[in-house]
Amino acid sequence: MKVFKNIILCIVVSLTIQMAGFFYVNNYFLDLNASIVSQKVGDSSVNNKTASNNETKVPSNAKSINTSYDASYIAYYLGDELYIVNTKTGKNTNVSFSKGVKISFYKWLPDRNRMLIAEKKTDTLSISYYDIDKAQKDSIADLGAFSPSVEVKDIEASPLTNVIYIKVANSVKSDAIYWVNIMKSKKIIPTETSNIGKIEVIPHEDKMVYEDITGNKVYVTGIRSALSFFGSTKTCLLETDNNDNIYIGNIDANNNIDKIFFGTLKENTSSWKILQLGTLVSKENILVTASGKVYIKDNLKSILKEVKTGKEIAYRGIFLQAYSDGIASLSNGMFVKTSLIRG
Amino acid sequence: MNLINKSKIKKRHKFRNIIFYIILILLVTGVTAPLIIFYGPFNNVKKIIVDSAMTTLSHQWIATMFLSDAEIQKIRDEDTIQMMQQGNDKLIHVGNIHNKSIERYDISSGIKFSGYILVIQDPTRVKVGYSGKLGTEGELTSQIAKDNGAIAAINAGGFSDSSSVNSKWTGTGGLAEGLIMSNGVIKFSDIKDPNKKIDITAITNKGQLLVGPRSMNDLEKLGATDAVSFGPALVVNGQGTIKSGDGGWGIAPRTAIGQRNDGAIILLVIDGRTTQSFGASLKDVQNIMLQYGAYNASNLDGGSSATMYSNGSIINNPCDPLGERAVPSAFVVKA
Repeated sequence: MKVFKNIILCIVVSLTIQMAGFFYVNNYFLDLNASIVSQKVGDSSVNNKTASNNETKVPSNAKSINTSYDASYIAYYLGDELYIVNTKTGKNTNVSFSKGVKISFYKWLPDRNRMLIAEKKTDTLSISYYDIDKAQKDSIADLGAFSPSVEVKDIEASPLTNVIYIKVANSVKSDAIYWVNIMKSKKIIPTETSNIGKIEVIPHEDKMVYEDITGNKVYVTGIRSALSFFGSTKTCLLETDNNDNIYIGNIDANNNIDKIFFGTLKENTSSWKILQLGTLVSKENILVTASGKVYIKDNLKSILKEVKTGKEIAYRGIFLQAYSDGIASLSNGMFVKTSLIRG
Repeated sequence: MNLINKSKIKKRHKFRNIIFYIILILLVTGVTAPLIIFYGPFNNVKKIIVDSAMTTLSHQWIATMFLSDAEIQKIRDEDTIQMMQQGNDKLIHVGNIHNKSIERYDISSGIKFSGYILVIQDPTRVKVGYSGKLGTEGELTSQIAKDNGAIAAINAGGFSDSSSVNSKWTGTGGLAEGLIMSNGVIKFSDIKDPNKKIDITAITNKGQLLVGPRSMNDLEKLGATDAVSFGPALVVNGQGTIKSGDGGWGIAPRTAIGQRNDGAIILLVIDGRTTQSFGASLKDVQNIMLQYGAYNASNLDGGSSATMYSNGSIINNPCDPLGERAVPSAFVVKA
């Protein structure tokens, strides 16, 4: 009898809560003539921005140093913490995370001052964004629960198609690619190998290019066979550029690159162009910019040499990376920008 | 000993019972909630669920499972957006306005949505800007603004939201739809018949805002210099076009443009799809436009595209996780 009474009570509780909730939503939240509060912010035509030029110092124990697309910000780890420094004003921001969260990976977006961050809490991995201009952080998607050794190793995103590709890896070379779209829905993308190297996104299409490290081949998502080139047995992925060109390095017996194949998926790989490097270069010293210029880096001389024109650009100190129109380097702990356009 | 054990068992039973009843409450709610929504007295709730389900492709079953096609149609028909013609002789007269000021207002409805309004006194400063790479990719609203030396901008026209075969929601903003006219030149058009009327939002050489159905011939006759094809018109000659219902587009981020009787242009963007701001219905947008004195107003491309740029930065919060989205066209305010 008591059980019966309780069940009735449960039903009543459920119905009451629902009725109250629906009543609120129906009559207030969805009210067709909801009142609007407005606040005048003032004349927005007055520009009161001030710019100052400070030199940016980077601590010697900083790790994973990366600049944003136009090098107006630089980010790095200090211990377990993520810092972002404005390279114009020198203002330093420590990105805060909720308790128990560790950063697994971060990546700047290619065209704006916003980064994607892979967060790890006990055994779950999730993706969020941090916008430094707005100082705003929000979650995008949960990838699920994984064993403790699993980390996010790379993130590639196209702000044009709004697709994010995430490489998740454990220590035994078993990699998986997650895909998240603008509606924040996610799926696992089937790949031809579980030993994935570099990944790159094609900016105008919902496609990703990836390296098979075991087979020394390069694949494109949605296509079963590898990209193949006449007279080439081992290849690696270098970059994709803003015009959807894919840059593939031809690897010789000593793991050096002697030439680069490049072209888009709209053309057959047999008609892709070939860029001869004229010398043997290791993969780390080849640089392809978003506009499609190929450079060879000489660490000893501290110069970049453009392959096509032979033009040389000197930079100061230790090379960090190329950004939209320049080179970022560290010289005696100071952050230095060198223009690629004028040089 | 015996007593302690008994009380432990009793406690465990009690705990188990509570869990059982919580699950029961959830079960009852799960079963009765759809029934209350679809057959109960909460018409606004029913409508928003039906509208939201029917405007998607893959979730229409949510509505069709409970309601017949006729019932769904009836609910959808409750929204009447009256086709009102602006006419050619009732257009406002814009005098010589040499007021360079822009007023900004931050608006809020409480928890449903928050938004931003810019009032531009001189309408002849408002033009259509477009992506330099139409056909391939859109450009950010802020980029279009900078390209045009503009001090403010909102996104404008729509585009095809697909980039690869079988890949929805991945549009690059480059595949425009309808019409883009900028500075008197047609930059994009898929309109074949110059007499066919489609929803247009345009600005004439006299600084008048045109809204609602217009043909290409109309635009030429009225001296439209800048136009995109988007709608529906929300305010026509001082009257709201949504006579009943909420407009039938559900709640989402919104972009809209309006003009007051004195010529001033009202730019509006409402944030949505976040916990801070859920979004607005078309009716909400109409109400705001009327409240701000709009004599004519039109809806523009909303959703993830809704973007407002002012004074060097994006002032709203685009709901796309990657931030501001690439779009084919924007209304820009020349400096």
